[in-house]
Parts: sequence; C-alpha cells; structure tokens
Amino acid sequence: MVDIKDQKINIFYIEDNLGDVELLKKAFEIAGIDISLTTAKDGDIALKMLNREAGFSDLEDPDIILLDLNLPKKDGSELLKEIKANSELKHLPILIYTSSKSARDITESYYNYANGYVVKPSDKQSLEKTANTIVNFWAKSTRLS
Amino acid sequence: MPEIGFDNHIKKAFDLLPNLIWSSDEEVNCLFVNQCWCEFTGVTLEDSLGKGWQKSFHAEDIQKIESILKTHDKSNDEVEFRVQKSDGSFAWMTNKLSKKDGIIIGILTDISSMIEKQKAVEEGVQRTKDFLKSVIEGIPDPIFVKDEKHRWVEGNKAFFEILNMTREEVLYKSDYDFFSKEEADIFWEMDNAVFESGEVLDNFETLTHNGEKKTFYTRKVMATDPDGKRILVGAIRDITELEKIKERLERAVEELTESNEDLERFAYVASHDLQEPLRMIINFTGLLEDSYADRLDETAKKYIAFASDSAKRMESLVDDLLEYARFNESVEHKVRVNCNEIINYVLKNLYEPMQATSASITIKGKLPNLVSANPVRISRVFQNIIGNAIKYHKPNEKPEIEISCTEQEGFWQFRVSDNGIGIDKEYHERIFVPFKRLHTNEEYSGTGIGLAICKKIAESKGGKIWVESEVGSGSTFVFTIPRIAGDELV
Repeated sequence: MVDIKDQKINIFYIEDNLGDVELLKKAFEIAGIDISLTTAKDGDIALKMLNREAGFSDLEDPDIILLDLNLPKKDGSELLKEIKANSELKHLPILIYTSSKSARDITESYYNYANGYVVKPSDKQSLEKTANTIVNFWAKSTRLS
Repeated sequence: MPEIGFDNHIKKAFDLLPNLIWSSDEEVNCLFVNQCWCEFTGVTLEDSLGKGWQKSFHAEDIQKIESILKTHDKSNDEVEFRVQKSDGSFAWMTNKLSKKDGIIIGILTDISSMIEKQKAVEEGVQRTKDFLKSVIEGIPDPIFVKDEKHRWVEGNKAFFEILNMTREEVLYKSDYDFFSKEEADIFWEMDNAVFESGEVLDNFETLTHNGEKKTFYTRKVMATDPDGKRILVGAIRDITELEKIKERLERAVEELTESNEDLERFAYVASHDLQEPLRMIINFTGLLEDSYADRLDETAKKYIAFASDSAKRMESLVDDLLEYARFNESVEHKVRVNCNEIINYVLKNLYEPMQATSASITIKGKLPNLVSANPVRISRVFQNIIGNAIKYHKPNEKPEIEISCTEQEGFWQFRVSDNGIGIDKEYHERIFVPFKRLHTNEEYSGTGIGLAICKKIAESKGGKIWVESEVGSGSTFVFTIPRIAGDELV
C-alpha cells in the first residue's frame, strides 16, 4: 500500500483562470499538502502537452488531471472525450473540477468516462476540504491500480 | 228466392249489421237497403226503393254505377263511389259486390276517413321533405348526392355555387365532365372505396379553386335512396381559413417555445458564467480578511466586509436564478411519497430557524400519499412556504404554523397558515414574481425567488398557488395539485 504522506502528488490542472490556479495552490497550502503542479490554460495546449508534442517531451505522467469544463477553444467536455478515446492517455484519472452544479454537466461528465467530479470551493472554509477530497481520491485510485 | 235477392230472415240479419248493404237489379233499381244505409243517408227504405236511392249518389258517379251494375259479371268485386250522408256531405265508400241471377248485392265500407288519413300522411311527408330540403339548402357547406354511376343526382345551393354552375348544368353529369382526368380518377376511386366498404371516408385536399389555393375537407358516406338504390352523400367544408389559423397558431407556439427556451438558456448561461467571477471575489476577499488581518486598519476591513457581503448576496441571487432557469432540466420518475414524510424532511432542513424562533408546526387532519414525479419539488414548495412563515413572524411572537389538506374536485388542496406579519392585498400577486421583494435585506434577508419557484412547481404539475392574507393577521398559502390515480388519504 502506498503511504500518501510520503508521496508528492503530481497534479496537471487544465484551467484558464489564474485566480483558480492560485486558489488551488492556497487550498493545498492550507491543508498542508505538498504538491507538484503543472497547468495548461486551454484544451489545445493541454492535449499537446499530454501527447508530448514539441516542447513538452519531458512532461511526466500526472497522478491526477484536474479539468475545468469552461475552457477557451476546446472546452473541458470535448477534451475529456478526446483523452478517454486515446489509448495512450485514457488510463490517466481525470477529475472534473468546475463551479457547475448542474445535473446535466455531472451526468454528461460521467457518461464521458470522467473518474470523478468535484465542485470548486465557493468560500475559504471549503478550500481545505476540497484539497483533502482531491488527495483522498488520488489515494483511493492509487490503491486500486 | 224473393226478388230482392234474399229472404226476410237474411234481411233482418242485414239490418243488424254495422255496414251499409243494398241490393239492386242491373237497371240501378233499388230492391233493398238495410237499416244502416237508411241511418247513414237519412233516406228511408221506402224512399230508396226503385230509382229513389239514386239521389244518395254523387251526380258524377251515377254513370259509373250504372255501367258497373250492367257489366258486372264476377261474383265478387270491388268498386268505389260516393254516398251522400244525412248531413249532405259525401263519403267515399268501397263496395264489395256479389251478383247472381241479375241481382246485385253490395256491402259498403266508409273509406273517406282512411283517405283523409292517407292524405294527411302524404302532406306530412311532403312537409318533412320540404323542411329537410330547406335545411339542406340553407347549410353553408356544399352537400351533394351521387348515384352508383358516379353521377350527381342532387345537391344543395352551396354545392352548385362552389362549382360555379347551375343545378341543370351539373345534375346527371360526373366528375369527368368538370375535372381533369387525373382529378376525376381520384374522386372515382374514393367513391368506389365508399361503395365497396360502406364506411365513412374523410378526405383533406388542397386545390386551386377560382385562382385561389383552398383546402377542403370532404366526408363521403354511403346511403340508400327512397327506391332502395345505393347512393353516396358527400359534404364538403372549406377549411382554408381554419388551416391558416392553425398554421399561425402552430408557428406562434413554436416561436414562443423557442423564445422561452432561449430565455432559459440565457438565464442559465448568464448565471453560470456570473458564478465564476463571484467565486473569485468571495474567495479572495476571504483570503484578504484572513491573511492580512494584522496589516489592515478598521476602515479597510469594513470595506472588505461590504464587498464580501455583497458578493455573497449576489451569489445566492445567482444560485436561485440558476435553480429557476434549470427547472426543466431534471428527469422525472414517478414514486409514491407520503406527505408527512415530506414535511418531516422539510422540518429537518428548517431546524435552525425553527429553533431560533421557537416555531411550532401542527399538521391538522390527514395528509395524502402522493404518486409524484419528483417529490423533491413538492418538498421545495413546503420548505419555501414554511420557511417564509418562520421568517416573517411578528416581532416578539412565536411562529405558529398549521398545515392541512382537503380533497377538492380532482385536486388536493394544501393550506399552510401562519400567525405572521401578513401581506397587503396589493402584493398578493406580486410576491410570486421572480426577484420581487417586499422588504429590504436589512429587515428580512432573501432573494425573492422562493415563491416564484413554488408557483413554477405548482403550475408545472397542473395546479395553482395563491395567498389569503391581510396585514397583521397572518397568511395562508394555498396550493393545489391534481389528484392522480394511486393518490390516497392515509
């Protein structure tokens, strides 16, 4: 069994809003969890990076992909479908990370093989909780794999 | 045998009969008339004998009687002539005759009443015919009758008008005389279908009539004419205007649905997109308050608190707007729910405000078990109404809430009464409009969407919601939902 305390989680966060990236960092800081964070600001770049295209050949496989739904160019839902249809990438666990609580978004995400769905924290009290949720999800999926 | 044709015994017997009986020779000389004859004509036997009885005949009939009596050779036959009654009027009589050895005996029956009756029947039939004809003529829809050879044999005014031809021009002609072969073929085919199946045939067709595009609805049925021949009765209705109205209506509904969907989509997208920047503001003002508390003066903290409160308030507005806009999104499954359970669930959600105000809630009488698609929505209605009843209580008075349900014609009527501040009649409608509020946020917090959602829920289920209230004397919110199969009071 993996001891999560000794592991540094490698998170690949696809998000166009710098404020959200900042909040995610803050959330892990408050929760006292050390992470390694790579970000992509839209779906096109994210796909290039994951495919290790020119300039991104040294990207390590992330432990978790956090995927915002509302992205410029290729949106989160399209990107999810492409990753899950790609035999090289489909093993990567994807957590949809969005502010939408819509039943439609949730259903559609799972329909497209998302591994989980986490609603972004709406105030500072839930920041820490969200960081723990992500880590727990990672721990569980690691144990399962 | 005596010369009158029968003996005295028979004569007496004839006098007892209710028929008129006479005997005569071939020269129309009366030999005998019975008692009934004498009473009928008012002429005595003595006066009738010989040529005497002839004054009881109608002048026009005497010749006929003479020739019959002379030429009559069959032993039994019937003849009709008129006999004058004692009041001077004539009655048609039918005579059964018997002749032997030149003496004729006749027995008469009064048939004038029968003839009158028949005449009355014939007149009645004619009146009915005239009445029917005037009705059919007056119908604005063209009506026609065809025989089995597909010829028009009858039609009303409207029918000849629509063909733009006279009755004489049309009768005994067929479709091939007026329509193209292709059209006539179709008409004949339909006629044959009716004749063969005997079933009603409805047909809608659009054709150019007098240079105008028209839609006609034609119904053809098989019937039998008075001679027992099969005929086809057709009725035509010009539904061009109706079709146009239907089309306009359908288009309007389509446009309305589209614009409603657009509006909902817009509200959804707008509120969804508004959430993002709001979350940023809330989170970062929160972090600012926390992490920089020691480096900010009181004024700065106050400003941040204002910004943070406003952002939170806007967040709840956006949340509610989203809920309102997302209303049609969920999939509905029918389940059986107990209203008492719904109320218990709602009370759990309202635990905090109930504790804070020491509110009491009473369920009066029985509440039904409902078969409902989406019971969460019913709970939402209760939660909003009960929530309001708690929120809008009178200062220094504990909220007392009473819930009841009665069955009305096909509906369940729920009533939630409180002892709160009440609502002015002027606002009884307005409180159900989204974001319409009666109080400032300082007095009572809220976004103004709760009752609008209740209204949307009640109406989506085919029910209604309204309030009965006066300022200062509490409010009763009433909502109805249709009673459906499986619902029951428990």
